[in-house]
Amino acid sequence: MLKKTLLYSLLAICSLCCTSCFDILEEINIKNDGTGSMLVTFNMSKSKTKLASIMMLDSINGHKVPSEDEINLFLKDVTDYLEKTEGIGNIKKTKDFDNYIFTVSCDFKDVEQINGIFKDIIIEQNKKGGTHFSTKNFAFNSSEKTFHRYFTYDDSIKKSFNHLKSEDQKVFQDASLTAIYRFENPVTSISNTKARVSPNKKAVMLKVGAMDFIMGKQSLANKIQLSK
Amino acid sequence: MRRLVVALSTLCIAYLGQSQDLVSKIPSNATAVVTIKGKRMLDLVSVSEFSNSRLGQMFGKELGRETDGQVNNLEQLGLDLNNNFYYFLEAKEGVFHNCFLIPLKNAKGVLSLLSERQKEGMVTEGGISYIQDDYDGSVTLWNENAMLLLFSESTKNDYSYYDDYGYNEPLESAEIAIAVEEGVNEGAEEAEIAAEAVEDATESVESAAEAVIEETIIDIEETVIESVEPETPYYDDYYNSEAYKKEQEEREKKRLAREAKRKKEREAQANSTLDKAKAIMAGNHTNGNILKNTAYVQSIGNGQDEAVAWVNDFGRIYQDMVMGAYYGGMVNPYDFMGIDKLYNGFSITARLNFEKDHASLKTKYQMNRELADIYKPMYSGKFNPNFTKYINEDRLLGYWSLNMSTEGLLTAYPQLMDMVFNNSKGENYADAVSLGTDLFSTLIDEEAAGEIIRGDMLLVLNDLSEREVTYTDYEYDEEYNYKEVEKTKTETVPDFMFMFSSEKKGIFNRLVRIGIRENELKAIGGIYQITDMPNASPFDLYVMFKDNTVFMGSSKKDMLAIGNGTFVSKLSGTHKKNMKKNVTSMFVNGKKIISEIPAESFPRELRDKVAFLTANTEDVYFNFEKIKGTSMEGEMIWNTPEEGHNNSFAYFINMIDSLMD
Repeated sequence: MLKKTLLYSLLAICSLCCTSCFDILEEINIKNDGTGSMLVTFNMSKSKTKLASIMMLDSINGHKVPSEDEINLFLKDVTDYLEKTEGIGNIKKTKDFDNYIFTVSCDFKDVEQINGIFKDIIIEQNKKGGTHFSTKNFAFNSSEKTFHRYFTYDDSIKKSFNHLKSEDQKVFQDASLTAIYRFENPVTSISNTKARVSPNKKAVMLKVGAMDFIMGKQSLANKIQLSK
Repeated sequence: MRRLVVALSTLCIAYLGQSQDLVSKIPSNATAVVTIKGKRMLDLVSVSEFSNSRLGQMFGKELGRETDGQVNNLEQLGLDLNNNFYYFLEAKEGVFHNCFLIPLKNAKGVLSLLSERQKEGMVTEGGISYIQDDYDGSVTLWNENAMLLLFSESTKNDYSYYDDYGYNEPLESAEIAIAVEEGVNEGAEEAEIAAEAVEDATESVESAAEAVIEETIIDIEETVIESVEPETPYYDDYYNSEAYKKEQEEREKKRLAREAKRKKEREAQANSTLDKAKAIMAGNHTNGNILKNTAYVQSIGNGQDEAVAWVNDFGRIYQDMVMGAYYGGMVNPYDFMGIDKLYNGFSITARLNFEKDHASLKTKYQMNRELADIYKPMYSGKFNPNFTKYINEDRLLGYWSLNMSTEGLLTAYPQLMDMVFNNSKGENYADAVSLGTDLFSTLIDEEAAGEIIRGDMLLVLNDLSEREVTYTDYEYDEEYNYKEVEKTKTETVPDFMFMFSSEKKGIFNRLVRIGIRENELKAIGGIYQITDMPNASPFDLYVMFKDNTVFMGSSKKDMLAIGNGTFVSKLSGTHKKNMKKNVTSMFVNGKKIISEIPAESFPRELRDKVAFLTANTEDVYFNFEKIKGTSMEGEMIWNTPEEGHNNSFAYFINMIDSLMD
């Protein structure tokens, strides 16, 4: 009892003082035939001091804090799910609890098969939350040589954010989402003006602040035209 | 002292008796009473001050919405805010009466709060009006001077609902068995085999019928059904049979009778609640009002508090709760434990005061003599005066001291167990528990355990210090290939020091030797760093033993200074006294904490208010005294700045206003 109170007092102050944010990195490499690989990185190392404090608590701001075992189990569930998805292979995951960086990567036969990964989750979310998120996020037309990153903003994102306690909202204030797409052919045009094309024209990068994304000021949507 | 209390109480009664105080409506046997002194609150913040505050405006807006614009502020509500507001609980024969008493200037405001439906159900008779909720029987009753809300709840569980599902019904197995038999004979081609099975089952059913519940029958029925399927769907015939219909009619008749009985009981309960409400309003109490209750009169003291909460004799509340909860009080599943011994004579009084420069909440716990004698050794710890040498008030963010006795705790715990289980109804457990506590006392050397950890300890939070931490980021080349790079940033973490008294330096030294051998500890100039900490741990941790004290701290500088005797200490007499004389003492230096937390750690909407919060936040103290006689007293003091605030109550309203921006 005493030990717990002592520990909680200190950790609560630590978690109050330390800053928190995260970066999500989405990297997709697509070959001309539509096959490719995807890597998703969840980097919370900027918040590692705070996370180390939080991980020692049972709950924070009324939310249960997952243990290392629970996070491991979640990652296992993710990879198990990917293994069952048609056209997805070479699934790998990494976890670094010292720096709080987690990655999941896979190869795909067709970029549309990535849509299949999230389809059920999105349908469930739309049903439960009354939202209208598209189940189609990626498309590659190998004859037209166009790559689409679809995204339709839904007001529910802002509403959900506004429902969070201000302490929880803080987590998103300095967070960012970065998308990098690489191709074999040079890029001739992009539709998202915030995205940048690399000098060799074979890569496109788009970095979006989490708050801009939540408020609908910036979108991940992009149409990338490659040379034929 | 006792004379003084009686004199003050008499004055108080005289004062209350002269005014139109609602206290006379509280029965003398109330087990809990909460009083809010309207006049004293108004002296602190007037109605117009409240109505002009943002909180008051929001409240007014809500009132306007609820009453279609008839009532738009607190004043129009018709409450007599100069008088006292009360809540009381009366527990009687398993029924808990929760009652709110609200003084009124007129009943106009109350009427405007009622919905059209409620107005239709309103009854006016003999100078009082009331409405009663159809669902729970709660009563809202008022006249031109007062309103009361009464919620009565019975702890008696209604087990008759089980009958609706046939759980408690006597079996009519013979009928069922015959019906099954008939069904089999009519439908089955292989009647002989089936009939044998059914007859066997029927015998079982008949023998079981004398004692067991219907569930058994259903099981047996299923067995029979399985044995004749698929050739004989006899149950279709059974469920269409006259016998089954007759049985269902009987069952429905009984269910309706039970429902009618329950309805009657609900109506009786509702009538009883209404009668009770009328009696409260009239002040008709068999044994007089609460002012005849000496314990209550003593608890209200000099009447100078803004609010008082008093809960009398938890033992009686427990008895009343148990009385109805388990089979009408016939069975108490916990009677093997003498819980009443813990609760008997246990009462609490809490007083809330808003002064010019602080708000305080004082609590007093009164317990029975037997319990007080057991608890006393637990709280008779001696505070190590050396602790105070290692605090520098200029850097102090807060502390928490604990002044217990490990030896006393280990001695008291078996006694407490013995007391609870030494009960005539729990004699089966009493011997086992007594054996257990004797063994515990034999195996544990309380005195020796008390030498390892004496029971007095202190946690001190010092400055928030900056600590450089690394993190992983990404650098991108021209083609957006990226590589991980390690960057650094500064985090602010609190420095803390935890101390506890111990006379066993030998044990500490042995632990240190093992720690160093196992590479869990690193020696640094007389202190030891715990090396096996998580990589991202928010602080480093050092340990040391000095002057019969074990130190654990996050500041290497402070630990080294304590070790070599160069620590600069500074602590006021007030803090020293609080730590020494109280069982536990807590202090939070609010102004310093807020000023030292980095602005970016505050939620965005509060960042521009940090200066305001710093200027308007003062110290908070919490102290809990040792047992004196049979009582323990605690006090929380929230200091408030005088500048910009008329008093501490106005301070809280002003703070809410400012944070609502």
